[in-house]
Amino acid sequence: MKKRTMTDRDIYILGIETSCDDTCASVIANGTNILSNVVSSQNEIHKKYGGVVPEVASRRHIEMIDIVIMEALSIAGKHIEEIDAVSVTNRPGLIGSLLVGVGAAKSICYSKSLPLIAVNHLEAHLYSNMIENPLIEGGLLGLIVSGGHSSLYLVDREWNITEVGHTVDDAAGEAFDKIARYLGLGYPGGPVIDRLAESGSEDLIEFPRPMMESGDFNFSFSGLKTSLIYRTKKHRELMDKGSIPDLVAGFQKAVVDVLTHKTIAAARKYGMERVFVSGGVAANSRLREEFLRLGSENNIRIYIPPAGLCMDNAAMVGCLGYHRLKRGLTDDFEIDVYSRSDL
Amino acid sequence: MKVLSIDSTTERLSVIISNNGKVASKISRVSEQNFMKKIIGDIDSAVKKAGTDIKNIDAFGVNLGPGDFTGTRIGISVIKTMSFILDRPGYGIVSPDVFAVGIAVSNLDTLWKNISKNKKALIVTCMDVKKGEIYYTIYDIVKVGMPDSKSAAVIGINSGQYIIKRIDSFLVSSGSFAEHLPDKLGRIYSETDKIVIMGGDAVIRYRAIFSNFVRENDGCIVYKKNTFPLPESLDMCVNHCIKTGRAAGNMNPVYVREFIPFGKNRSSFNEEKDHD
Repeated sequence: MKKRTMTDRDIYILGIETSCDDTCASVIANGTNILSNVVSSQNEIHKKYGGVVPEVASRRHIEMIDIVIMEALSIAGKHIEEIDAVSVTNRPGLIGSLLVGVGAAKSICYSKSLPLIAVNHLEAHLYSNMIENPLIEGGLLGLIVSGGHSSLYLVDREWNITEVGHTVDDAAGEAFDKIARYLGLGYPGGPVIDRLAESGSEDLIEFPRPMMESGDFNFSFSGLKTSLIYRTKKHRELMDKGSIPDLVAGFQKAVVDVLTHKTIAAARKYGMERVFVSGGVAANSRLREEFLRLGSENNIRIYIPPAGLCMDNAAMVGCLGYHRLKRGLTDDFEIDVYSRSDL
Repeated sequence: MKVLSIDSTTERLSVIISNNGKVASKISRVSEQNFMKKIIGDIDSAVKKAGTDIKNIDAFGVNLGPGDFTGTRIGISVIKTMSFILDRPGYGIVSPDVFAVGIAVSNLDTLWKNISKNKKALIVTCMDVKKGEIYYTIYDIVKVGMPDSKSAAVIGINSGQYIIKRIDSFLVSSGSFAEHLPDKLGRIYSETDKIVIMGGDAVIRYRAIFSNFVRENDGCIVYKKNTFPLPESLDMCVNHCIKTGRAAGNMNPVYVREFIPFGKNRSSFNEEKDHD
């Protein structure tokens, strides 16, 4: 595809994100000014199953995709003729979900002769921090912590990304979801645990800090989940309504401690003075609080997007699309979708 | 009136463009690569072959299935988006209608034998929908009157115009088909001079069942060719929607079964979510 000549005028990107269970579209100007950010959530649909059911997600995406895109353009007050490029997540994610968004994006770009930009969902999460800090330069550490990922990345000055650590089993958000389901707290688990933990004491029930001293930057949350289950089987009273806040507060604190300490340790090891925290779990209030405290103690600047931009959204996809367009990185119509893809 | 239609419900990806009901270009092939990679390239080739531009297409059509989940969604996602972005009407056609039109057009002489004598001529589309089941739809061939929402298309037989009209659809196990169809045909089944033409991919998949059925039931014929939805038939159905002023916009996939994940509620601790 032809590289676009950039001018000084505003650049409008239509972002599309359908990698999991949310159908999202957004119009963003110059990678920083969000004109619309529409999210059609499927949480209510998947709640009864305690997790995302891929086939159910795909069925909902195909019903919603045109409606969500129309809504994003309408809220932004933009006609499709004013859009400069379309950016879409094509990896990693659920295949049946991804192909709905990518099919729509290709269709728009072909119909309107627009550049198509295919982006990595994880990289888009990192770029969610660029929306409010558009002038920030490369050379930082990134943590993506969500229901599918708990990984640390080095981002060099040219924005090349190298993984330095990842979870060896469950992602942090996955552990929250599983615990919430086990305790009958509903789905998704993160927000409900965050809320309940506020009224609990996080020091009353002690949990292990898995791999805290492992010497690398990998994570493990599966054992922590098992620890909570064994604990409650041994002490049934911990499942009482009155004890749940203390139980989840202690569990949450263990997750937060591991994530924050290992991230700060990685930043120090690689000499990074700035850290981008992103992904759905970055909306956790205790994690945000602890990151800011530790960052301040260690002279490391912590960037965390507003909670709304931590969850899956298309504004971050549009933001990354804008930066790729600026670098002349566009894709052809033969791009495919991929369930797995590292950064 | 230029119409572009897509069928991606089977292993064959088809793009067809017609101009005032006449085929202007067609690309239909079993794709070696997946549809996601090829679909825009094939649309572009068809558009160029028709000597036009995508912006000059007046209406769009797409086969809604039932069919392959992934392929069907790719076609629908592309066409429903194209339809609203270019502000042109888009029409969704159910796959049995496409099959029925294809079977009818390929069997005009057989149909005429009965129609010319005011005898019943029916088409039964039989789709292999996996899990040992057949999804079949009964169509009547009736003299043109006022086409309704159940009319798939109008075809010319000799000098007359006839509507291919959908009567009803059923999902049955392959083993019960031979008993189920006669029951649903009711009074027509007992008519000695009837013609019932059965076609679709199930007649190949369940060859023995259909061979026996034909042997044991007078007037029943199996049509074994064109066991995929023909793009020309899809185009006829879309043009029929346009001509009869049918409402555009319904472009969601058609499924033959409700999807029920792992029973009702999961109690196991296995997490199915593989991505946030």
